[in-house]
Formats: sequence, structure tokens, C-alpha cells
Amino acid sequence: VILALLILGLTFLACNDPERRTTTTAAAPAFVARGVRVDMALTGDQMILRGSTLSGSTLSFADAGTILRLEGDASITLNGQTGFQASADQISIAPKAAKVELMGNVKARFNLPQEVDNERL
Amino acid sequence: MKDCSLAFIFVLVFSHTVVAQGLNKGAAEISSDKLEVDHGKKHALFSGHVHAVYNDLTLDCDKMGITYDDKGAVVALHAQGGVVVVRGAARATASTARLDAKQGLLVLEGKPTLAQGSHRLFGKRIAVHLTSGKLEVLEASGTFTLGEKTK
Repeated sequence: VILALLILGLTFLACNDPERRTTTTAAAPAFVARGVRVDMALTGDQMILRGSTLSGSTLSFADAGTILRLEGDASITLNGQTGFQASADQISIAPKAAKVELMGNVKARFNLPQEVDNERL
Repeated sequence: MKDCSLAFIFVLVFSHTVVAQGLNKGAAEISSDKLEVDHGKKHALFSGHVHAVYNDLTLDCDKMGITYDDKGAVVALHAQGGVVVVRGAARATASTARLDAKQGLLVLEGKPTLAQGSHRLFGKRIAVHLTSGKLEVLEASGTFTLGEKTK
């Protein structure tokens, strides 16, 4: 019994590890993914988009599977809590090249550094 | 000498009423037709109907490149093509604009103009020191209407 509880506990902890957690909400045909480590899924050897958050209505792959494409109210937040957030009609991601391309109704958000948070700016 | 005097008066008026009004903390919101991000080089390139808003300041241009740091904060900005910066009643135009965010320096080049009301200032290069509100105008000329109140 103790062994079974231990296994259950470890399984629970593993499932709730934010580094490993992948949540997909499937309401076909829509696709929504949050906190996905896309880089691992596509290249297996790079972590360049680790911590990024992606969402969109549909997901597809292009260029021999090296480019991830999100369409329909697509949005991305690069590396978690950085100042960069963006949304567009379509987002294409090349994880190995660390390049992201957004097309149509692009809206992005950047922070300014603390140094210029000045009353006279 | 005349140009220098004119520029000096304009600097007093423009820098005090426009540049030094003060922006508060906040993020820059940018919209465009297309955005290409090279996350490895920490560079983002906006193109097509680029419109940026930072508090009460807006910037429109054809193409705008942004270099950002590890925290995603803007380090430098380079706007190209039909650059128009508007803040309140003040309006600046140029072919290119470069912002060094850490130094707080905005440089307008390519027939840059500054206008507020009937006041006009032209130059070969206009540099705005954002932290001090100081303007530097290379080869300045323009018109300045005496007696007009600036908003």
C-alpha cells in the first residue's frame, strides 16, 4: 500500500511539473495549446522557445515539419515573462532558427527598459 | 546666426512644452501588417502600416526594427519611411528615426521637421535627448510666430 501511494504521489507530482505540463483543450476542429515546449516537439535538441506560450484556432506544420504554423486569433508570448507578446491572423514559428513570423493584423507589445522610465522622457 | 537664434527660441518652446511633458511607465503597443522576429538575434521587424503607441505618443512609419534585451525590453528602435511622430499638438516628420532607449536619444534624419501650431523647425538632423528634453538641430532653419501661445 505504501509503495502504491508513493507511486501515485510521484505520478501526481510529475504531472504537475510546470516544466513538463502540456495542456491541450480540444474542441474539434479548434486547437488550443498553452505552455507547450514546441522546440522539444519539433527539434528535440533545442530549448529556444522554452517557457513560451502559444495559442490559436488551428495548428499545422510546414516545410518538412520544421515550421509550426498557428492560424486564427493566434498569439504568442516569448519566454514566459519577457516584455514581448503578440497576436496576428497567422503565426509561423521556426524553433530551430528561433524565428517567428506574424502575418495580418499584427499587434505586439514591448516594454521599455527601466532606465528610460523617466519623468522627463 | 539668425538660424541659431530661431532654433534657440524654438528649442525653448518645443522642448519645454512637447518633449519634457513626461511619459509614464508602460509598454509600447505596435500594430502592423507583418512582423518578423529573430529571437536569436533579439530583433523584431515590423512592416506595412506600422503604428506604435506609447502613452500619448504615436509613431507611424513604413518599416520599424526593434532590438530587445533578454527581458524583452526595447534597447533600440529604427523606423524607416514616412516617419511621423505625434504628441499632442506637436508633430515631427522624417525619413528615418532612431531611438537608443538606454541613452534616451531619439534622432530624426532625412528632411526632419518639427511643427507645433504655426511654428516650424527644419534641419538636416534633429536629436532629442529624452532624459533632459534638450534638442540638437543640425543646420537649423524655420519659422517662429511671435506672440502665439503654445499649448
